[in-house]
Amino acid sequence: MKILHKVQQLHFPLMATVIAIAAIGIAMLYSAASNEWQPWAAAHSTRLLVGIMLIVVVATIDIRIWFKASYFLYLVALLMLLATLYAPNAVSAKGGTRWLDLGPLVIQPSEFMKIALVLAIARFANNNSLMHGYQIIYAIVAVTFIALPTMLVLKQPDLGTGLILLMTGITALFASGLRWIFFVLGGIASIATVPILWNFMKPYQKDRVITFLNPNVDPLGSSYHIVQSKIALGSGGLFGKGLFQGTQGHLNFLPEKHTDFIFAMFAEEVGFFGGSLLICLYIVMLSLCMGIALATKHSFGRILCVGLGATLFFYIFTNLGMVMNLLPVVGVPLPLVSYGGSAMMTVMLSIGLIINVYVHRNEWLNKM
Amino acid sequence: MQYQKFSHEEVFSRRAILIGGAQIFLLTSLLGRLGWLQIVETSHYQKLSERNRTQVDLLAPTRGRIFDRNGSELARNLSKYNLYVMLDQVTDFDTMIKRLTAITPLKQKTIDEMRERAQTTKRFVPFKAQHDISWAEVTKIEAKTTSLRGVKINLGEQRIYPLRDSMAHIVGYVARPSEREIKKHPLYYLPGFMVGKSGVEKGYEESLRGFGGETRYEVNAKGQRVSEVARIAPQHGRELWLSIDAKLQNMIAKKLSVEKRAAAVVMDIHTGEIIAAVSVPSFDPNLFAQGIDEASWQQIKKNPHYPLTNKVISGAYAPGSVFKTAVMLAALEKGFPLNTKHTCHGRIKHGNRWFHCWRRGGHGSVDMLKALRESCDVWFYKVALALGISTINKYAQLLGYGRELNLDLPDERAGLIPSKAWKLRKIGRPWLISDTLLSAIGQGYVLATPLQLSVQMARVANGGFAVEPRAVFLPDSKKRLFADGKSPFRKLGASESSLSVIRAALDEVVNHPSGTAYKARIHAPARAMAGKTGTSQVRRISSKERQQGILKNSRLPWLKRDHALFAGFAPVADPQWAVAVIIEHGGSGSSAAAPYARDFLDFTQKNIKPSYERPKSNDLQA
Repeated sequence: MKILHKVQQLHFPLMATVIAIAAIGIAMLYSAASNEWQPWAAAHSTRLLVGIMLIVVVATIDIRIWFKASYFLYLVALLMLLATLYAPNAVSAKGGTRWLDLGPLVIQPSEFMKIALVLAIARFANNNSLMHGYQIIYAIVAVTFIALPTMLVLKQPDLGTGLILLMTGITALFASGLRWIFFVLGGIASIATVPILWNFMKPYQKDRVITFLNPNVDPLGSSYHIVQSKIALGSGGLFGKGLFQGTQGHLNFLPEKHTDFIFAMFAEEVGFFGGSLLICLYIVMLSLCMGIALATKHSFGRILCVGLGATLFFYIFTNLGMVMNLLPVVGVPLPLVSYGGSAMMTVMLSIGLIINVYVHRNEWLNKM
Repeated sequence: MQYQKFSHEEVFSRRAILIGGAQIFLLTSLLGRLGWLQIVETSHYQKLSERNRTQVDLLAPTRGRIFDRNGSELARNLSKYNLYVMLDQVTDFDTMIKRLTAITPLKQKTIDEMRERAQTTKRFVPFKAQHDISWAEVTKIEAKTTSLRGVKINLGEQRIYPLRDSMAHIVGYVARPSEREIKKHPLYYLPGFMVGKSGVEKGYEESLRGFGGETRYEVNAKGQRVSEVARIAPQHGRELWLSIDAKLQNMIAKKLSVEKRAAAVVMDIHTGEIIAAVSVPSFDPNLFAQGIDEASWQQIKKNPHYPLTNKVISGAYAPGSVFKTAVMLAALEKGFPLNTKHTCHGRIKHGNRWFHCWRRGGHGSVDMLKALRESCDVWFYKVALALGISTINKYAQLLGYGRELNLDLPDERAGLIPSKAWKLRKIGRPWLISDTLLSAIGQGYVLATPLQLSVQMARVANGGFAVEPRAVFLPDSKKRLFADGKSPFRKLGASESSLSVIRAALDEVVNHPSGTAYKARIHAPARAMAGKTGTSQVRRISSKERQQGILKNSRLPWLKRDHALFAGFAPVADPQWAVAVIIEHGGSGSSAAAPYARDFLDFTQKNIKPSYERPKSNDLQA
């Protein structure tokens, strides 16, 4: 029974960490609905159960299948992104973020692309050892992998997801061993092209960038969001106002308390004590991913772990930074805690793939 | 190539650790930020959070009532329903007006004013649209609260002053706080909340006001009340008992009402309790408590006789001959014998200037008692020359001149005892002997309030205790002090023999046939009054005018006539009460002021008892 053997090989500490974080999410969504299971906490619990099953399934599929499907999945994701821009069944909401209506299923191709991009880069890195050949060509191809979906997502326009895709891709590329000089040059080049790009941008795009850089001029009033978020955090103090007893959240002063600002609600109710516990859980989760990467013998698995871990990190960091008023307000959910189906499934899929790498850490993957 | 020194795996491991390290570092820095917000700045945000979620409704305390010494109400409260419009909450002004006028008739003037206010200011100021609406109107309006957005009914308490004009200056009045005052206390923001503006209403504002209560509500982000969190009942203002006797106050006010400008005060010489203090003309304090209308305000403002000023404490007058009492004390304390004699020819010359006595023919040979009894100016000129101004000033100040007496009422004036230093500083010229002469007869720069004149008499009459006046009734503990035969006031430092001579001289002023106030004496020996008249000039009489014959007061324009003054005490045998009367531009003190003083002291002795049991005055020891 190879499957059963693989199930025994699953990385249980990582799974436990994931479940612990998601459980905090359930508790907070219960609190956010004024201590009711409906509408959010119940759905989140169901998604957690489905997610765990997804992890098990994804983790036990032979890694070669994922390896072989990498480019294909990337291509599919790319086509779907194109479809969100040009197909008639595209659904748009919330000022840009786009979904694709596929009859029974409404999916968000940019979520899918986060995983597909890492898969594609991992396979590419695995096949093209940097010990041989020219790094320039390697770099050009890899950058193209990243640039295509990033540009499509930016065109939606979804700046937050676009930037996370870009950063994830660059992190994966960096992990693959591409020389420092490329990153330095790339950095200089991107700074140099900013003024040129600026001239080509349309006024509304410029506005959006200005808003991004300076939330104080946000006409939608994100400064209200951030003020209330800071009040929620600060008034929580060391031990919080008590679980399910936060006033900022329960009296609706905190906006988006079940999605983007859920951490503010959490820290209000359980204080610095609980808030730092959650951050530590995330640190544990990311460290375990990194540990798996270091224990893996093949480049595909290693890049996959580092890349998917980076996606998770960027989500966590951007969300928490936003809630604590260190970063501008961009609509980025907190992985495993914020309410939202697509995001939850993407995270579970990522964790599933990381555990898959752990299960298959000693396999030997040939160039294909 | 650099990388060939390492295996591919080594490069990866190094970079993976770099990435992982960076991630952990960044997340840890978030922990730091979280700690900053939640530990270092937490008190700041807790306050903001509390402010977010709580809404406080202030509950107004009831203002303390004011009584006279016998328990008659001088100020009380009447509950009234007033109609307010919160202009910032009104969405459709015309509809609101239409609906409101269907219930209660609004004056067109009020509507216009409200409309103008609604257009010009966006600030949260409740507008009082209707005063004292009926219970029927209240129920109709409350039934339609949803369609009358911004219309509020406030159960307000209106201050009522039952004695109206006669008590206006002592009790004072309340009115809405001014723009400046409103910031001083959160209660002042309540619609219809009143603050003391004058009299004891102002002087005892804090004690009368009490402490506001509050109801705290928890509100959600939409401002809807979720629950009542706490309720603190207001602490009502304390009752205030004045030493005033309403009967005497009314009687004096009635008598003086025939005068244009006048002031009178009666006090207990041992305790300093003010029994009556009347200033004429007066005003109806109820007008202010109701919110004075423009016409009434203009009427008060345009009255040339300053009805709002309490002349008893805020009017400073040249005391005239009343001041001679202080000069005489100085002479006695400096050892001048009773038979200090000077001859009065009606005037003396100093330098190249003549100084006149009020009696043009002169008083002939004058000793000390006669000098005061007949108010001989020449005798006092001569004694003043010998004493010098600083000695006179010292004893004048002992008797209460030249400084505020710390009466518990606002706007008390200090009067003026001019010194050499004062003249140099204020006028810029050196002191002249002629200034000393003028001071000696209470003219020149000398100024005193009627209250100071009565205090002078009280200090002479009570055996030399530095009594200080007070308008609020003595608490029981103080009364006991007097009952034990002890005065709480310090001794003046003037000898009893000097004071008894002065008392004898003041007795003669009234009760000796040649005394200036003989006509105004009280005939009953047991209630006999002593005192000193004063007639103070408000203009300078030129030598040319003297040659042509001085115009009679009654032929001068009113504003140039002399002030008539009298200050005294009674009964002579065992003094209890002091009085001071001033009739502005009333003519001579003996004919225009002394008769009033007689009536007031007579009434006082017949009708008013001291607030304590007192042994004989001779037993009073410090």
